[in-house]
Amino acid sequence: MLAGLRAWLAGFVGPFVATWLLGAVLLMTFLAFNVLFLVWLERKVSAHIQRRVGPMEVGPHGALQTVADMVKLLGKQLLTPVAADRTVFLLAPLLVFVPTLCVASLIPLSGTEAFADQPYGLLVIVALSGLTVLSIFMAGWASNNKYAVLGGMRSVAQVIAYEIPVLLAALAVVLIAQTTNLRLIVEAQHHTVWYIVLQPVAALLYLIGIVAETNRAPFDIPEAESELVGGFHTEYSGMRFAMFFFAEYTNMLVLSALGATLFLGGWLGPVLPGPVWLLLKSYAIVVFMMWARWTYPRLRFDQLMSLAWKLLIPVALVNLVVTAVLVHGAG
Amino acid sequence: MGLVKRYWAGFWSLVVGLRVTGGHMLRRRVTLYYPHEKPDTAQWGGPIELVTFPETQTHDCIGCKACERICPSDCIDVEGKRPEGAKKMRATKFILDFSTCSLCGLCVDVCPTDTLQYSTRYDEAMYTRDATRNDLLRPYGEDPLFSGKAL
Amino acid sequence: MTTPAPTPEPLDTYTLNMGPQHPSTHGVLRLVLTLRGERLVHVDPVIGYGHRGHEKMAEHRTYAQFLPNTSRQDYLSGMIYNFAWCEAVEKMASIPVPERALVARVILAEFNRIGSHLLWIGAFLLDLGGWTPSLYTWDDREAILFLLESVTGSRLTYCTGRFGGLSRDLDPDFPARARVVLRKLQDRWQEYEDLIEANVIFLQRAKGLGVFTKAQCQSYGVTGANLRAAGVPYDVRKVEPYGAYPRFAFDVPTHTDSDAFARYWVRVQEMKQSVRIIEQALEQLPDGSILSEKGLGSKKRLKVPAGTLYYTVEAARGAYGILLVSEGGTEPYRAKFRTPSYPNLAVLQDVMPGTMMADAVAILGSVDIIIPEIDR
Repeated sequence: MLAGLRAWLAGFVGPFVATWLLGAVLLMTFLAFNVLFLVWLERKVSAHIQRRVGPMEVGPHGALQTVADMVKLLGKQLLTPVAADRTVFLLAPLLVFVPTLCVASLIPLSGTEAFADQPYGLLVIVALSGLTVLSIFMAGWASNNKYAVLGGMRSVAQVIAYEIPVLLAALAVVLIAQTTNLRLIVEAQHHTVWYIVLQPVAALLYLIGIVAETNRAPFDIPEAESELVGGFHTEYSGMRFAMFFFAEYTNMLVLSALGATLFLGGWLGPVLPGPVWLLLKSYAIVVFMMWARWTYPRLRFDQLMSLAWKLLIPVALVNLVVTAVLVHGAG
Repeated sequence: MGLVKRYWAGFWSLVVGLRVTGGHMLRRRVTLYYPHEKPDTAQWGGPIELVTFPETQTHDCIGCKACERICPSDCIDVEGKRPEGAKKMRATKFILDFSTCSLCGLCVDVCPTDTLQYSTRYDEAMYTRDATRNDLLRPYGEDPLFSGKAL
Repeated sequence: MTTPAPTPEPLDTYTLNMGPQHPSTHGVLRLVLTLRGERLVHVDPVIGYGHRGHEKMAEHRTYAQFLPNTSRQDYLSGMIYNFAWCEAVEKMASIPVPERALVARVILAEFNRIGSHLLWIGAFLLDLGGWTPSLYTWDDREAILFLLESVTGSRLTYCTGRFGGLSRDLDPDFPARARVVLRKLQDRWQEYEDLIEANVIFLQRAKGLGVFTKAQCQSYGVTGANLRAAGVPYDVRKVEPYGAYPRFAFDVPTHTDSDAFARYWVRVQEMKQSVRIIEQALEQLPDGSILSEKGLGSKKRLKVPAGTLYYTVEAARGAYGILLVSEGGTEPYRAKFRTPSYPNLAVLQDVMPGTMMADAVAILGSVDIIIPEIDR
């Protein structure tokens, strides 16, 4: 069916653009619906951890609650501070999605399906994931609000610091798989064993890293600053705020999907089709992130930074060296 | 070595914490799904109401104003009159402004005929200030002792 | 009046107003913070947003009419405050209290104390960013509130004390139901320890946070778990025993670190000691009347002989004192309330400067203050 649609589009814009357009639309639609689901899931998971039920009224078991919330947010007045840098202010919530979508397009859905197949996929992903923080800082800076700038700067420092353990953990996987092509990494896991078994330390580092990357508790000081002062999204209202919200959940899912690809065997699994397995594994990681959020108190910012620089990065480096030695010794 | 032990203890505490919340995640809710489920309010001391005595099937308020005098919040407004040919006085008006009532129970204590009690009502939100003024005589309708009709 | 900010203000500091409407100030408290970068330089608590004139009301109400006010001062230990007023008047007017009422008061007061501490645990963890423990503590508290509702008819602001006892007697099945609640609480201690006390993130946040020195505590008059966490075993129930407390064996937990973790630990231990007291009290609950003279203060006029009395009890937050001055009439001449949160807040002016902003909220949470009782 998709092929037919592509062929029809190709008649108008040519095959390359048709593929690209179709893929982009499909991906964005999927991720949008996914965010709706994830917000509902978060509320349900948090509710059940707290021995309550969460949304139940709107739709069966509250399934349409997020839709209702979105409708509400659409109706809110979009305020722009007078002294804000208007262009950057308006651009930030739009740009916050872009790196995440690019990363999402690089994750292979199965042995034969993917939005894009890049031989250096992992490197491209690592390069792109550093860009999300740019739009966060844009948001904080353009708000012309000293607390928003503080929140933005904190977020930048946090994301940059935790990029490194994520990168080093992924590198350890690359050392074993001998390739940066994500599809080949998964196929290598098909031949040996899931890399979480071979690289438990790297998997744990990756997990902690992505929790910090997405500003989730216990690393949510830039967001929870709103208890004392506003975070980077103070001045945003209505749908613009929703954009940041969306972006956080999309980022969560995409990074979890990447983790599933690197450590949990991507699309591998019996009976069910590849993309379904990938989705299940990604959601498992996402649920775990939600579980952790509602269990732990928040780390203070300096504790957060010293955890990254003084513990996680040295451990990641040691892990990398040990992996290199073992891989060299083995083959 | 101590450092490694400390880090391991820290890490293990995180796992234990997850186990606690994970256990709760799988258990039944403890909340009440209001308004589909209502709470057990049999022992709740709610807004004051008049007691209906089984022998007389009516209240026994004699309009003595003891409750009005003792109320610390001045929320009771009682009027009483002696009906024709009766020995005791009888209340003609009993307004209790619940917006200032603190449910202290002093009116219940002081009543000489023990005709005041806590009700078990709890969900009485109202939209106007007037609606907070509870008319305690309303459930009784027309008072037979005043209208002359038989009990 | 507020304490003056440092003058002249250096150019590298900025002022941040943690306004009266704020999720983390445990009431209507305004903190004017002066910060240099991340660090607090000066803290200026502004109180009075919740002033309702309780002490003035006491001068224009009879002793019985003041009863509902007592619970509203510190609504989390409302039972204890209610009984404190009753006991103060009983002492001044030499009103006898039956044995059953004395023991029942201890049981209800200790349940109230446990409820208050449970809520504080939830609130403190909320300040630190852990949302879940507060719901577990509220679930436990719900059991206690349901039990107390069966005795008093109220859940938060109790008015069950009367001069000479309690207004309503305990049901015959109250001891059994109370024991069920105690069992539920005791099953939870291990969970709280696993989830909170042992958690490395909590330990990192709370250890070394907001250290009071003993000298600071004594200079400001800090009482309660904050003082006991600084190593001073001052508990009014032991130092100036009242009611039926001398009959029960219980310890006064103290800690030496005097940081937020020590205060947490002391309060958890206090809850366990309260359970111990309740169990003993349930064993020893005598039969008899619950009120020595019905209607004292309401049906019968109560005139308290002239004199001055300072009566102090151990509330959940510290030492609560009532200074009662009577001129022989039916209304007090003056009632002054020494509430524990007042000095507990004041000491923060010395403790908070030098800490980081995120810690300021946590220190405020760890001290366990209730603003309405500061403002009265």
